[in-house]
Amino acid sequence: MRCRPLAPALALALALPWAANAAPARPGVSPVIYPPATSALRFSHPKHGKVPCLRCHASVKTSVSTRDRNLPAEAVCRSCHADQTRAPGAAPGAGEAIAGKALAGCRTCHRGFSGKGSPERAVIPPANIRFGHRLHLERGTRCADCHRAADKGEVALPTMDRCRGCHRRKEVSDRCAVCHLTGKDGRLRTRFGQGAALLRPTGPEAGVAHGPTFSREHAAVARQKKRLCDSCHRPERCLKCHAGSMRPMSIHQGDYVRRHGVDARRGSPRCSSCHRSQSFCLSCHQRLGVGKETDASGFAPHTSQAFHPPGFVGYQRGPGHHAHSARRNIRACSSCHRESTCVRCHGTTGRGKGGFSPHAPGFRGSKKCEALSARNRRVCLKCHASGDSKIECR
Amino acid sequence: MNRTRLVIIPALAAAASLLAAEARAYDFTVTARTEGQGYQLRRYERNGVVFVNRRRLTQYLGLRIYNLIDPGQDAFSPSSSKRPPRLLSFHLLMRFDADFAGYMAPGQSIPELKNNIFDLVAGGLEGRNLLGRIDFSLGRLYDMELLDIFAYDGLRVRVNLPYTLYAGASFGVQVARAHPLARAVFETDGPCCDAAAEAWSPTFSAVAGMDGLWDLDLKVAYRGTVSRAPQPGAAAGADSIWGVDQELVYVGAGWQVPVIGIMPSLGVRYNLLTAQVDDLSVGLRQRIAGRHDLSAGYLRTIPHFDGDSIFNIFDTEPYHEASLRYALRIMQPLSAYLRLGYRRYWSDETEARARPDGYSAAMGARWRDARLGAGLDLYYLDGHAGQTYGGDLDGRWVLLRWLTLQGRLSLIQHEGSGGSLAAASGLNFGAQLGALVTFFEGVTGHLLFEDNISRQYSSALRLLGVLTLEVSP
Repeated sequence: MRCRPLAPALALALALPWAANAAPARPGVSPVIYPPATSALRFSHPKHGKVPCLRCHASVKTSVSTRDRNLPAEAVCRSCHADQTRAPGAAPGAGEAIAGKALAGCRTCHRGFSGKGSPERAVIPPANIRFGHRLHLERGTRCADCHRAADKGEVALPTMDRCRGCHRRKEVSDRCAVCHLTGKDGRLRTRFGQGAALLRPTGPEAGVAHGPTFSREHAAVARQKKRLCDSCHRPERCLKCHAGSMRPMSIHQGDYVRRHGVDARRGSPRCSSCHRSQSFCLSCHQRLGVGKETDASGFAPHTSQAFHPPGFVGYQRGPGHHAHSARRNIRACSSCHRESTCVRCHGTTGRGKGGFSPHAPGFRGSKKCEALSARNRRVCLKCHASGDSKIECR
Repeated sequence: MNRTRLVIIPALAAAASLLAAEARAYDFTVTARTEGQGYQLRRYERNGVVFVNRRRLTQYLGLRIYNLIDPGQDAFSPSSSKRPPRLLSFHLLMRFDADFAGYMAPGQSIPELKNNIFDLVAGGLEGRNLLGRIDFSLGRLYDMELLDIFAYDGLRVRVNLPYTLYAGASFGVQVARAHPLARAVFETDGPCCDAAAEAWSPTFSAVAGMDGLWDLDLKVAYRGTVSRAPQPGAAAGADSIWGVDQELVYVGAGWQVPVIGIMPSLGVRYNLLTAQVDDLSVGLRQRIAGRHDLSAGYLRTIPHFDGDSIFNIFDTEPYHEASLRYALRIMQPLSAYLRLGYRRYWSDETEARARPDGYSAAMGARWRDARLGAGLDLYYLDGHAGQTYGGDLDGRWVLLRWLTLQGRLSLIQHEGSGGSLAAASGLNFGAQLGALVTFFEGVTGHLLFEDNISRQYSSALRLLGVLTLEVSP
């Protein structure tokens, strides 16, 4: 009971600093490319719809970088709006026109400004792209081509789809690095400042969107569009997980070691994409005495601690016989056993004791037999002696 | 082997330091990453749990030297030629993994599995867009052209042709655990502890395709790896014979159909060594209104091993899996997903214990913005060895510019069938708390505590510490 008032207070305490510092993202565009802006300015593009864009944003004609500030200075506004500072509380648009100019007080544009001190400055961080307005204007691009009015005539920031669409139509290069900022090695920069969100593809292109399940489903893209991956990631990036020395918590949550056996036998996720059975798995199993290849095994056959159920090994191929497990997922066997374990019973005269064939019915004479025999004779000789009549496929 | 390493390691270090000395005129980055981990391995027996301590220390050292040639003025400008800038860089990433783990019984170490290894993770020269068309890499390389990750020491060249066509080839020697500065991470599973595993394996690959012409991706790839080793059972001094370790052909295609935007894809890998298709995948994907992402897939796969492995000759069966995924971008930082899967295993009437079917389901939501990340995942997974279901709640909060907090809560139930899997079954609650601290620009520390509770133990603490340094002019 005593804890009850603490919960909402704690939630509030945790949420407040975040909420207070959060600037609103700009609608419809990536907050990584266009970092959130804060502005106390009151301005409506639709209400200025008849004013040519370049009359207010004249500096875009010479702008070559997103770092250029292309917002109009107050003097530009004053060229249309007469000063009405004597009535700072006047409503926007109210008052008479003086010499053809609409009256405007401080609060007409500077929301909440009392007239004392300086009004709050608009903070509009530069877009994290490589872009020059001048170049686009010189090539005949109109403002509306990129900033096409969205709902209610408000001006929109261009999305990547819009940029690419135009570049393709006009046969201008649409390489990533033409617009995106790059690092020293020519790869795209994906992080802009400490603690900032990562730049992730969200577009529809060939399924590369890094959605919430991409880490589990990226294999198809990685093998088909490796060059695209290379544009952001160094090859070593793959090794961070695939040959990593640490357990990725988002893939193997909680006490994964405890339950990995279920996944390993199921073969999901495909363990072999990151782990080599005969080094990664076997080395740990050996430490614990799980594997067969150690005298310290705590799961020795025919004991109360036996790892495998009764009937797992034997002449009778009944339910629970190891042949079924091997046929389903032989990779799971190889995480504890080495080939020598199999050869002991499956090897023919001179190699093993039993000569029990592990081949599929019809293996002799099959394409598989011929392909294996022709390409690597050594594998046949592991179980068959060189003079063995059964070694030949025909 | 040790003598070889004694020669090669100092030689490589000397070469690297010489390059570093020359690199003053170029941009370079030096990285060092130290990872320390401490936890316990547990073996579940019917009578209780047996613990084995594990302490690991992993040290990475990396060097990158950029712009060994002038990329060209204004190379990134759209007003310049359509040709991308030429880039030439040198990189090295080395790792020493020290494992202070214990054993159930002292002296049980299998020599080839020893973990205290110094290895070259990746390294060499990398060139892109040379002469406007040629990419190359020389050194320790990785390929993912044929589904699996394959590591080799050698040269890879790709020529980018007009109309997004490309062709490439590579040759070298497969990275095997028996080689200097190598670790068996991507070596194909199979043989162990014999002459074939120790042999050097030359490898060759070729690839051709097109990269987005009419929104169509197409690729045909081939890789062959051979080795020369004595015949098993042959007398000492007998002649060695050549054998194929791996021979694969892969054909992949993906198309974004114009106007309707649907994306069919196909991937087929044929294993020439076993004369069978060992991996087949078919997919269909559609994005609707930029927010709804719907995909369906089919996968048929069968494990493959090194050509010297008898696991190839066993009577094995593929499994078939169908999956359906739906992802929704609810608003800018918030997305959700649902994933359903059905897997059909091989089974026959004599195997009464096993089920032929396996089902999986997962759903979740994720909030991801610059300051706050949070996710909820719920999942269910079953198969012939048991079932797992549970949920995770994770979060990341950038509290200050130099401090990020992370946390995760997991509640997972799993039930294994038979033997030790059954002994380890039960409910598990795990909690993680971590902090990522930026001490100075380029110097970060990451500390993570994890504890787990289950019916078998009241605490299983895991500690992880990572210190990363990145120095760049």
